Amino acid sequence: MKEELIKRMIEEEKWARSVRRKYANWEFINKQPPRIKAALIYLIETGDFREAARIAKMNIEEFMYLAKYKANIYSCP
Amino acid sequence: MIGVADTCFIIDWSKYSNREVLFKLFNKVLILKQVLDEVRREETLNYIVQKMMTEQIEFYEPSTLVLREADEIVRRSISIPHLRRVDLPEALCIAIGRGYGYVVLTENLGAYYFVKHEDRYKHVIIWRSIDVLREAYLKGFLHGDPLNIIEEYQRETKHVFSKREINRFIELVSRRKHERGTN
Repeated sequence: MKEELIKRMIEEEKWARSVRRKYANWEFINKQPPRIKAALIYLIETGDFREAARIAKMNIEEFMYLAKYKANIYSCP
Repeated sequence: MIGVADTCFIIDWSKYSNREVLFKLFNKVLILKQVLDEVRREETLNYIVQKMMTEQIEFYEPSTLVLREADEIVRRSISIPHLRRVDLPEALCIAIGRGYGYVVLTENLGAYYFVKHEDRYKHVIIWRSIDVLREAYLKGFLHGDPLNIIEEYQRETKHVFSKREINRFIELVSRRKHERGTN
């Protein structure tokens, strides 16, 4: 039962990662300074806004705005 | 009904044109100190403050006991293999949800699966935005084609739902519509 839950979560994460990778504005991401670029890539791979904001040394909301509305990285479940 | 919202949820929701439906479903939504501290943008702050003035959003400072429980939730979530970590703001929402029976409003996958995984928290109700949209639709606060509602939310907030979630949403609202039609 619990293994099933974790399996479902992993599947959901896999799908979400594919959405983030597919729709991300890679041209914008690649032009960013190294720290921001690393944070955006981390976000694409993990979906973790808070940790990515820490990497970028930005406030989470400012980072969410940059990621969603400039780098076109969707938040997914 | 009272909800307790985490940061990403309230930020997304503040950008949605039909955001008023949240307060048709909930008498009050609590915003924790730790969540408010993370909000910076003027439009989000204005939205929260305006709702605080009408007492639809209530600022809430968690007690030491709640903080301790939230810290335990964070540590427990880290120890479960493959589970996405639950951060302190979401953990606080879960602790409050367990203690007071408030609905936890979050998009955080870790929080969503944590309560399903842990027996102590299995009664905590977690609503993601798609659950809020579904309830609002079923209660008649949102009208029109359900798929358009989903698409509008996704477009405005840049939050995407999975096909499985969307299908479940459509299936449920269609079934309810059918039941109402046959009763």
